[in-house]
Amino acid sequence: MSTPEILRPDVLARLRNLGHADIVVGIPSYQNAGTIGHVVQAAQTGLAKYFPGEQSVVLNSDGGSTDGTPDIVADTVGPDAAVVLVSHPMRPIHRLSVPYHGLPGKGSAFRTIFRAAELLGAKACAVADADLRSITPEWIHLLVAPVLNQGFDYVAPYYHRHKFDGTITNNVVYPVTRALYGKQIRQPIGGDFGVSRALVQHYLGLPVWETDVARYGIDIWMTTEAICGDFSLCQAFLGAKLHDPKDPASDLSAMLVQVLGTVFRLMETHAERWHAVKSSAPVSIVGFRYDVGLDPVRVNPARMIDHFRRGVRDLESIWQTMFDRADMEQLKRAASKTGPGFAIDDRLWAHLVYALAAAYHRRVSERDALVRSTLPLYMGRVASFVTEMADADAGQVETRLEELCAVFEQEKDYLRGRWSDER
Amino acid sequence: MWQVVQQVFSQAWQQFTAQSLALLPNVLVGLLFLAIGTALALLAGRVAKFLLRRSAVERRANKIGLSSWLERAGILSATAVLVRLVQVGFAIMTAALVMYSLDSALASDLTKRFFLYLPNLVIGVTIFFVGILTARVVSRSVLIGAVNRGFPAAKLLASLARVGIILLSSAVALEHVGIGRAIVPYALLILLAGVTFALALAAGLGSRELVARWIADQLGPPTPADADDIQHW
Repeated sequence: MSTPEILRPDVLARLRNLGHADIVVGIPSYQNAGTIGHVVQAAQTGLAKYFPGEQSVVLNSDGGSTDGTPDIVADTVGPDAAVVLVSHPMRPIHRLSVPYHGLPGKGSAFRTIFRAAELLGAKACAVADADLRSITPEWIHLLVAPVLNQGFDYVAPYYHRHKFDGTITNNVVYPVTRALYGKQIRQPIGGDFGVSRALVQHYLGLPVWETDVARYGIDIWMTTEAICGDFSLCQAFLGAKLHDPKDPASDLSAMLVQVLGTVFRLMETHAERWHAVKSSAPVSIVGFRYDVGLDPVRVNPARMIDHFRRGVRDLESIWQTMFDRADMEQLKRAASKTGPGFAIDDRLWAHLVYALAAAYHRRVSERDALVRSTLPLYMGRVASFVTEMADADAGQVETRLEELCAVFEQEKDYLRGRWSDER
Repeated sequence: MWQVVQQVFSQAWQQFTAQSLALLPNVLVGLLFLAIGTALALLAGRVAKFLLRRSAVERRANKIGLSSWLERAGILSATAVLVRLVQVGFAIMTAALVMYSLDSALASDLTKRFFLYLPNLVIGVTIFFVGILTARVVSRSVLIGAVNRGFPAAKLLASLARVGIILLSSAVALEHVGIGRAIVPYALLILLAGVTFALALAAGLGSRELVARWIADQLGPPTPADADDIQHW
């Protein structure tokens, strides 16, 4: 069945001129003028240094930046870069700047990159976020080499992050993905990854590119589809992940809706698969592991606890449509505690997340409103985690997260029961 | 005198018994219709419930997103609504038959009036229903948004939003039904007053932090404890 071409004619013409590439490195961007130059340089250097025998293309898919991002990409690979690259005349590195169209967002950028990789016949495709400050040429090697040399189809990133960074990954997405699908991928929504040609074609053939999944949850979708498609997986240790500071005006509840909404919709798509999974297995990690220095992170648990208490006080009518009475009582007890005594324990947290997933599935109310209403719970859990781990080092935090994941796996029968509850 | 009283009483009694006896068959037929109609309504409800369950209406409604719309209006089961509609249909038909059996001229007149009035009634009920639905959705969104933005009187704000919308939709619905035509302007006035009050309250309570922050900014840079910069994803 023929599908409409998503690439613009001029981009298609440019790709036809290039003819073939073994490796495509995609860099989706939007308003990343401050960092994209560094990312493009790292990609070019990585390709030149580690894959000198391969034809490579760096593809920047820009979402209509107005801060000069595409110009910076053009300048970065100007005369100087060309000289560096031309030093490998048989292995030219090309650069395309493609303002992607269709749905504005990361999903559209990925689709453009994957389609270009498919047209160029690339054996491996890597994607790196344009806001990275810590990317090095080695990242490209670590994301591409497992695909080219070891036959892996999906290379997920494995970063060192501050113990309080990535809280939605640590407390929700990682434990849930691991418990559901049985693969211990530590950063299932990391923005940097490597994929094989087979997986690129698999992604392009799935009917999600015009949906909210592509718009909001492309990272978790890619990881989940790679697992559920039985592709071979590994993780690449990339060191520290440092990127531009978050937008202070960003709406956390909207982010929660996007990420969790996608996780829950994928649960519906792959219900049969996750129902059958009983335990989880480690996923191999490539790359030399080392400790790195990380930016300090300021945390204010008191404000998070206040947010949680406001939720318990005002949102009970919504929560009780999703959660068990016993869990609601536990939440009220937690809200009444102050200081270091405040805690949302692992079992309660697993129940809340699973009950939310089931309520989302059974549409007990408007789906997005259900997820938005749980922001105070999430804040309470983060506060609980931060308070508990205040003096812990990175290793202790990882051990603690292992315990949390084990609880999510143990409580999976609770999810199965809630999921199939008929009203 | 006594004879006249006796005569009047006797005539009245005779007329009453004659008319009652004349009407008795109609009443009996009416009662029969009522009994049959009630039985048929109950039976039709059960049959409809059975058929709707067999055809998985609930799941289909879920699939096309109808359930979520009904849920927003507080209706948890599409099947229950359809069953009730079937029963109400039978009840209306039964009522019409009973009226016709009692007095066909009156029944005909009432039926005509009812059908003339029906469009207004349907529009009025629809407006009211949409108002309730909108009030629930808006009130919940306001509540969640206010809690997540740290607004201290979130419940009050949500209640004001709900009451305002219900008031407005009720007034418009009544206007359509033809009751209380003067209610709409009054309702709008009340609504305006409510909105003004809510805004004043929101500004008053919501700006407390703003003022506090402004004073803190004037006194010096914010301390690290005032903010966090966790990267959540």
